Amino acid sequence: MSWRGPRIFRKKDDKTFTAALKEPLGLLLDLLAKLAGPVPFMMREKDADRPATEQVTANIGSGPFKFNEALAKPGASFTYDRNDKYAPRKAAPDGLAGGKVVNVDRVIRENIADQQTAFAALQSGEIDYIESPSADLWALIESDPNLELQVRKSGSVFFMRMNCLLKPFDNVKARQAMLHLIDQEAVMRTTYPPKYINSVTSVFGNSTPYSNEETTGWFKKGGDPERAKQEAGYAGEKVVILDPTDWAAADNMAQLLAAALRKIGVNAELAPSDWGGLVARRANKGSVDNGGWGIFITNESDVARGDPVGNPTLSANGENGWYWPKDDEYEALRAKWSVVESLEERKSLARKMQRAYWNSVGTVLLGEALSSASHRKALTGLIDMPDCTPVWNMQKA
Amino acid sequence: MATYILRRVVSTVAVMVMVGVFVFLLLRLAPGDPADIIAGPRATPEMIAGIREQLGLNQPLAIQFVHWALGILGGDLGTSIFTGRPVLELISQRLEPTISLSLLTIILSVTIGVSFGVLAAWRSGGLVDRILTAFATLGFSVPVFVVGFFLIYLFAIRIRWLPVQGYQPIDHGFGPWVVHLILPTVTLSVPYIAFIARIARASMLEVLSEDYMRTAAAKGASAYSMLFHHALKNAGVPILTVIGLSFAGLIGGVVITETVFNIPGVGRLVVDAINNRDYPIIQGVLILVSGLYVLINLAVDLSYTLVDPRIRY
Repeated sequence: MSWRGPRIFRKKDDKTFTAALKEPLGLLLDLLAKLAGPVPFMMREKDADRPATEQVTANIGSGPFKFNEALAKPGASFTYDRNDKYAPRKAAPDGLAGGKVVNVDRVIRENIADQQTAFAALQSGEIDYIESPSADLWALIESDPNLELQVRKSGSVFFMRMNCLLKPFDNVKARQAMLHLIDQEAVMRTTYPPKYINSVTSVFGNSTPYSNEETTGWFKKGGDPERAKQEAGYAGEKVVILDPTDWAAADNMAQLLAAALRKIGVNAELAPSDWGGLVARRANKGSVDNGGWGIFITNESDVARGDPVGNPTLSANGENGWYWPKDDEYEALRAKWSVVESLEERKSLARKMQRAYWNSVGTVLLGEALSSASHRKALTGLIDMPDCTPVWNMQKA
Repeated sequence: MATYILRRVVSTVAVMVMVGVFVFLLLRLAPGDPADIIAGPRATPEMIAGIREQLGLNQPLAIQFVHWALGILGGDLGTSIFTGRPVLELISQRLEPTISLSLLTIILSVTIGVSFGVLAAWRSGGLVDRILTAFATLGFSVPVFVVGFFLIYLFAIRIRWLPVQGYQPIDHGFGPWVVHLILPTVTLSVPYIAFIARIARASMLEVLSEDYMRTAAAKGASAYSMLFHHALKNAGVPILTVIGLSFAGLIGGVVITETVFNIPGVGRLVVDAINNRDYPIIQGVLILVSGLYVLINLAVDLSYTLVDPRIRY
């Protein structure tokens, strides 16, 4: 998505630009410095003006690396060469900011489809780094003296979205019952080792500045199926759970969820498909008999939950929004988010938003899995930050 | 013969047209939409609708099909929805690894499979026959990915003779090319060796029990001459059929092997395309594969005349 609005940015000098706005936008710097969710990409105007479906072919090479188009194999590998013309700033690296000193000549990003193969290649030294190794490999990585498992401070938050247009989840009581039903630890342990999972009770995630404890009394370790059963107001409707069988974590969780729902008497049915099939079906607003659905499970970066304006999963604007929860009180508060300027004001607003959100329950959180990467110990200088690992500053012995 | 070949080539075109229609409709009727996937998990319905319009996916199916079919007639397989690159370019980028793996596999499978089959038939009922029959049963039963990971563990992780994964083009040197292909080729060959060995053994046993073989033995023909000059040629038709089927079946078999050994071939390309609902790539690969399949069958039919002069077209 490109910003096609009025030209608000003006160049002041070689290192400065100004933004002229019609109204206050306290979030401007946050929006420009985003890490996750929809992030802004700065492009040349003629490239930004291309349709979303058209490939950008220009390789300008203004950063620490240059894309090597001759060696590009879409879907298989991409190669990036050190940009000798890039002058890093004289400062220590700091996340995506700071000095970006490149210590290697070339970085090759290989798409290895099979995780077991990727792990074997890491063990044998054919590759140096794996981004997001699957959880079942973590113990093996930790047991290999040549490898290191880099567990980040934050991870991805899993959540289930209920179809608020259909019974039973058009009833807020049924959605609130799901808060009581879910045992986050049990859900997350279907896929992740216990020491790498966290419960998450704040709409704003665990690691964002806006994370808070407002109206989280529903959370109970082990869940509370009896209370869920009593409060659901369930009348026997079929609940179709979309089950992406090509995504192990969501597949495992969907199966556990179906079992938990059946235990409290809900007529839950799994609808297995690949992720592509799920994405198509979840757009269907029709009844279950016409291909509609009741629940799907997905995840997003914990960091992304700190941005209720840019992140549509944190909206509750009904059929115009992301899978249709509707809460006018929450939306009125959300509208203030971009106007509020100070961090403290925004934290206070976050508490009010969370109170409203957990009353209407647009989403049920399932827990956080800390994200990880793995690398050979000979690879040093990795920058520890949420969501990604920059490839500058790395050194290979 | 020329008339026969011409007739078969014409029927190839008809088969490809049917495959084209079938593939096109199957993809469109399957759940999933490339616009949804391009737009990402947080897209609004309006964004998805806009992308569908840009991609022409909102046009009637018949019009989409005609555009695609006319493109193929002009030698254009279309443009990948995701990468924006021509499908033909993407396929040609991935052809070398797949062809290399397929050819080496068929050479290894035929050489070892036929040898094992002949040997087992010659020593029918003996220890060698039992060992080879057991190998054939095992080779046919164990899934390719299990063999692949076992070989990776043994030869790449434990004794470190061979690389775990990847592919080196032959223009980077014959050595690196062949070294990267040893494990995938052996892995992929195991079921085909087993298949060809079993058919070759059965076929050879049938021929070895014929009267003319007994006559050859009575005339003092050596074991080598009996097996390779008399028996193998007469047992050739079913063996050739199996080799042809194996070669055609390899096209499907390489998908798993390419995934296990991270070989950037056509198999991986089409699996990724299916996950992304990248219709032009899937259609382009399937059209080429179906054409190849029909041509391999034609080549097998023609090869019968080489081993059996009684067969005429």
